[in-house]
Amino acid sequence: MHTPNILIVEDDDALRGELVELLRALGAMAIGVPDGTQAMHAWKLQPFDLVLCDYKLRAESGLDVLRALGDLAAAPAAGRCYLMTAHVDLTAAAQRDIASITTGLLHKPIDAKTLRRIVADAAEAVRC
Amino acid sequence: MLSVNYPQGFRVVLPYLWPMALLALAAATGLSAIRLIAAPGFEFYFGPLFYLLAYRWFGLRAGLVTAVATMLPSLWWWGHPMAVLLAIGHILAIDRFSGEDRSLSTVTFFYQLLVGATASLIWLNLPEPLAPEIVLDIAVRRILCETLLAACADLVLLAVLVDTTRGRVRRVRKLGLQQSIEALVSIAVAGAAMLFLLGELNHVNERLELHHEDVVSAVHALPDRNALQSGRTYWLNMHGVDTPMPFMKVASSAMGQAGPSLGCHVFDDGRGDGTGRQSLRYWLDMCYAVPLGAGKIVLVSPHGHVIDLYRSVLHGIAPLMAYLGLAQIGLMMFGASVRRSSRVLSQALLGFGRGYVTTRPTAPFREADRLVGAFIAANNEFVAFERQRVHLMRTVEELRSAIDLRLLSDIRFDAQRGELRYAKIDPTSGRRGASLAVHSGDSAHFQSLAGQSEIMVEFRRGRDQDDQWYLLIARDYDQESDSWRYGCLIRLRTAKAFQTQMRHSARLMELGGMASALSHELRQPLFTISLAAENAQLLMHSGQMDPERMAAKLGRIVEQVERANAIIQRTSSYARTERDERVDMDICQAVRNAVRFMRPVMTERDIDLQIVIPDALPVMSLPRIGIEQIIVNALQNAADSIDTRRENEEDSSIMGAVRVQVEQLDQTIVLNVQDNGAGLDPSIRSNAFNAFCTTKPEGKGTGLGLFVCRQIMDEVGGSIAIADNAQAPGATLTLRFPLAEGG
Repeated sequence: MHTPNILIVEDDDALRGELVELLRALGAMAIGVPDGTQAMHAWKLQPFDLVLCDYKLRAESGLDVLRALGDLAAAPAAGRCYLMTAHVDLTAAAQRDIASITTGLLHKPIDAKTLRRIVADAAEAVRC
Repeated sequence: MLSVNYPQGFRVVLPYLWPMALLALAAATGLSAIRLIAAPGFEFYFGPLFYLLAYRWFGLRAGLVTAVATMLPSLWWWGHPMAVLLAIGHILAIDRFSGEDRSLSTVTFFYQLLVGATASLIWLNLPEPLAPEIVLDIAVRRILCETLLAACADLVLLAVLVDTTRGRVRRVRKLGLQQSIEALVSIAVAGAAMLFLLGELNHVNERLELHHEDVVSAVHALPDRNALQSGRTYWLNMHGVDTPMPFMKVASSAMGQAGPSLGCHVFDDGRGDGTGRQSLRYWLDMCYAVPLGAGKIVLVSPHGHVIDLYRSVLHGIAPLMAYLGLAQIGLMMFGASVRRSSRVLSQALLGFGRGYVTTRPTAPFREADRLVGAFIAANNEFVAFERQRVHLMRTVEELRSAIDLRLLSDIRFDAQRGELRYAKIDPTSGRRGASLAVHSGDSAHFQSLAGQSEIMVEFRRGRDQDDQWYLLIARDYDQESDSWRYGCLIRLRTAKAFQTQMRHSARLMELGGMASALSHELRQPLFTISLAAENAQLLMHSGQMDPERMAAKLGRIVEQVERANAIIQRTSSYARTERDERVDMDICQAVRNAVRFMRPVMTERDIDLQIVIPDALPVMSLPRIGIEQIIVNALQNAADSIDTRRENEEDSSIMGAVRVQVEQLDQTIVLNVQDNGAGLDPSIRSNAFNAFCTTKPEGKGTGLGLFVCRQIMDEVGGSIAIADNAQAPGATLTLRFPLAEGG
């Protein structure tokens, strides 16, 4: 089975650290970055099979980061990028935007079972 | 000493009245001794006039004494005491039946009709019966004479009043209605009847004198007069005389013996002086003596004719007497109606103002009835007005009591003592000085109001308690005395509870609006905790029990739990409604707390939140939660305003910017929350701090936020203002916290 490369964009350091550690424990190659700039930098170094990005980063929107990464990848494929959010009352417009770009929206806290499934799916899919 | 009963009912004793009373009694007795024969059989006497006046002016005993004294001459005239006894009875009857308002004449008429006439009937028929016509004529004479004299006494009494308290005689100023009418009617009717009777009696006398001549002629015209037997009774029929007259031929010397057989005791041969003819008794006892010559005379008794004549007089006077009787009965009924009207009026007058008159009493006279009706209407109007007044007074009193309303003058705030000083205006006790300690948090607010011509301010009583709120309205500021001339103070019982409730509502709404921020705040640490726990579990299952790594995982979990706990603490403090006690705090800390709370919302809405706070500020005693709530509310409003601008300009790319700045200016700490939103809506510019004033869509704003903010700022003695930015879009909310003296 292919070992997926996973990029995690999360501004909460503790959360990012734990998530990276867990995904690695699940057999993925996970790299965590706190913002869009470092995400772009990391993407330029190596493409990723899966991107998990926080919806609201400290100074930018996770959607914008995904758009930028998509532009960089020329044609982002569905099923390889997720937005993570702790918000529960997203507007319909925001949800439409998210659906148009991402594979899905993951509500924090995300349980381990879901994460395992996402990692497994990423391993089977082509790189985004 | 003479005791006198005054008619009005009070007793007076005046020593100097003795000689006056005796003199008057002597004069009255002297005048009453005059027996005036107005016509044959009609004798006038004046006793009743004097004893009735004596009774009215001086009382019962004086009346009785005068009655006996003035009627004594009748003993010599008529030879019996009946007139004296009837006079005494007359006074007693007057005393019993004649009140102050009833005339003497009416009572006199009925007394003489019932008692006087009955007594005459009995007395005159003793020892031998008289012809009823004669007795009735005498009774009528008595009734008319006494009624007329009583009416004269009434007229005198209507004009003259003897004031025994001062011993002088004066004119009566107020006439009695019933008394006047009774006296006038009596004197008119009785006078007319008496004049008629006098005329009739004089006519009878003239006819009897003429009759004598006719009798002489008739006797001389008898064809067989010389053949008449002596001592035998014959009957003489004459033209114009209904009753045949008995006559008898007797010797002149035997006239005295033969007379009684014809009922004669007096003989009239026409040669006398005629003085006896003025008496009724004369005609009843008399026989005509007609000389025939040769020592013979004819005695003719006119007794039957005399009776006929007096019967005709009686027939003539009877209708007048009936008329007089009816008039007196009418007067009695009239008097009763007058008294009833007077009673009704009196009741209406005495009952004025005591309550509604629902059952309208009826006065017999239309004029009086109209007056009573008008008076009752006026009374009911007055009572209604009075009840309204009382009701209003009670309401005002209740209101005054309920809100502790005080009307004030010379209102001044003593900053040194922290007291509101004024003169209390009380409707009952007047004007007196008083003072009310003002809560320290409100003192600065009071100081800032100096110089304003009119103020309306809510404040708390006392220095250490803040349960009791007052509203002061003061007007007409006087610069010289640094006081307001007048105003009022109202205790606001429900203000505090109401405010608390409103704040609670506002907090709940704000909490609802910030649910996403709270969710985000809590879900972040929860996710971290779950990841750390999962990693720790994997670590354990991997068999690599690195204690250092395990401790790091547990430490992270604890750290995230504390983070979540802090969030919960902060949130729950907003939801509480209990008293927000003051604590010593730095406003900057409140800003930090509020910003930390609101930052997720700002981030979510793409709003740049900038904080500019000094390194150090004086510590102030403030309600921490309240101040944080104000800042949170200001940030929420700023975010909403930025959204509104984006919608208005249809440009969602507008970057929101909110700047929170705290600075110290002299003795005031100023906190500005500036945004680049839509600015103030013109419709709420003047009433932005009023309750339920909002421009937000339904369900998004309560309209209580700024209202509650102002209440909190009022409590702490600060101020709050909002205005559009001068050079840029958006608005700025400004909070001013005055530092305590020396602070």
